[in-house]
Amino acid sequence: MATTARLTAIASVILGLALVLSVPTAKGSGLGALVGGVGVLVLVVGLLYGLTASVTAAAAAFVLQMAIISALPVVLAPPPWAQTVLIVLIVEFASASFAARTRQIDPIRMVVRAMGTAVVAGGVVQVLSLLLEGSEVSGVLVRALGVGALVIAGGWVALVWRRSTLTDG
Amino acid sequence: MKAVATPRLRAYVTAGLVGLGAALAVGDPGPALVGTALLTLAIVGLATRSVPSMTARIDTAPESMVEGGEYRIALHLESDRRIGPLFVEVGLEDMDVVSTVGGRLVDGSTLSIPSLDRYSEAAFTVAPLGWGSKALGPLTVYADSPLGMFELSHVVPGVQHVVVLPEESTLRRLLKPLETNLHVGELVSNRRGAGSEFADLRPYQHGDDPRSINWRVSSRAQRLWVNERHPERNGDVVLLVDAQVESDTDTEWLVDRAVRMAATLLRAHARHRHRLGLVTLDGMCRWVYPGMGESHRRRTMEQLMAVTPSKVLWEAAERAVARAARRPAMVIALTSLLDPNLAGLMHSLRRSGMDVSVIEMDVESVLPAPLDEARSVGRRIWALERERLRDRLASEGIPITVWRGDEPADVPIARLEQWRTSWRRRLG
Repeated sequence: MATTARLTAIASVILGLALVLSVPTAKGSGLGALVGGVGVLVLVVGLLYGLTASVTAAAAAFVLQMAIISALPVVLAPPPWAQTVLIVLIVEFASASFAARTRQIDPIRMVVRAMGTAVVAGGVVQVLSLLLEGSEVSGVLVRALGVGALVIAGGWVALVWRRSTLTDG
Repeated sequence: MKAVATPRLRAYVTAGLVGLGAALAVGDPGPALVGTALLTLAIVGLATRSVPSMTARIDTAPESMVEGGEYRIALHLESDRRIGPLFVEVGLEDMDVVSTVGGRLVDGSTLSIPSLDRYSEAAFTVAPLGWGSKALGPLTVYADSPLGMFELSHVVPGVQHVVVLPEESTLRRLLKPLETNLHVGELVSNRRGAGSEFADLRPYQHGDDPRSINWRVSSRAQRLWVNERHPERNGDVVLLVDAQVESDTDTEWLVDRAVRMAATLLRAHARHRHRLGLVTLDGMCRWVYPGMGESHRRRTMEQLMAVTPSKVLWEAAERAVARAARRPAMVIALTSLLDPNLAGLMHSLRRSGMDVSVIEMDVESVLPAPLDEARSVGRRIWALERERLRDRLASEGIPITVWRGDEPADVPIARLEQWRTSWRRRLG
């Protein structure tokens, strides 16, 4: 059990480092790498001291890193779908590491599920990017619609969570 | 079952919302795509949540076990819907899992079950390690929700206690109580009464049973003579287990030996229908009055298995011995004689007319060799003091023998019997 927890923690940290080190070397990308680096650091500290919130913080940091790089006039590398795959794998392995500390987990099933989830998430990103390709959206109305969608999505998740009567561990 | 969100759910929701927000802030759809994908995972995970209602219990478990044996512990699992792969963990104190049924053993005492379709039975075959009162439980069942967004768990917190008895040594002979009680048994009593063992002849008296007339003697003597007989009775046996230990020594092992011998004696005397009592001298000093029957035997064994090597409270010990050991009981003390107070107790029992015997555990076998000459002299003085203690006990008619580490359980019993025979001869 301890071995599984250690291996999955190491795997998530390695993937996090890979994500940070893969940022393009362009002017301004240092800020993105810094945010990603802080995410990896938080993840390492969390995995060492058993802080489950570090997974959330690291995942948010990696998304922010991507947002910062995408604002720069450089080609985003790795592409969004690959970054999604990496973020999902990091989250899956880090979560499995925390689970394996308190109970038994099936390592094979865990790896298969992580891979499957990552592939599905990457696929969703790729499908969406293909749909958006060639279209250009801008303007105040579009931004207002985006904020509205964000509020609705957040509210819906919160509502489902509350109605599910599930506890947050 | 109880469902608890795993870190991945919070991570996907937060990172998803951050992605959408960041996309708006930087004016690029890239982070929004990633955020949407992560939120999609979270939403699917929430939507496919399913918290089944579950019942789990230890269905069959033996009330007592014997070291070295193998025992089946059956589990009953029931759910209102199908659950995917699940793990069942049972607390098994000091027990080795030999085999399992209905699942694969993945760790110490955790069973991996591929799926639970409403009802399932699983079982562990366990082999207890060491005697004593062992805990069985709690029982924990856990599984993951689809996509692993929630951890489902069901805990049955109760703990059962199973008494694990030591392996029984073979005893070919037992010390017979010198006095008997009034219950029918296998011992030939010294008293006269209805029985099968011939005792003596006496002239016929009014009221004697005509069936007891010895016609052969009567015809020779020209008057009526009757046979007197010894009745068959049982005896009271009180075992006194001394759990005194010395710090920084291996004297705990001697307590282990004493308990093993006591368990063997209890079982052997129970087979001879003797009434059994027990006094355990440890930090608690508890006692069980002499008695018979299955429930009494179980209570006695439970107390014996609860013996804890520790310092003995001698005031409490005196009270316990005075309560449980009364005539006509035979007292067998199993002790390391580490404290002279035990010898004092034996003396007072003997003076009150009790039949007392002492089996001494061989302390010297567990002590390390003296490191220097001074310590060696100290050890010799200590050994002489112990020898004097033994002589004092023996001079009062208390048979005492040292049970060496390599001797079977039969040997000290045989020596005590021999000692008692020679003592009786000496007294004429």
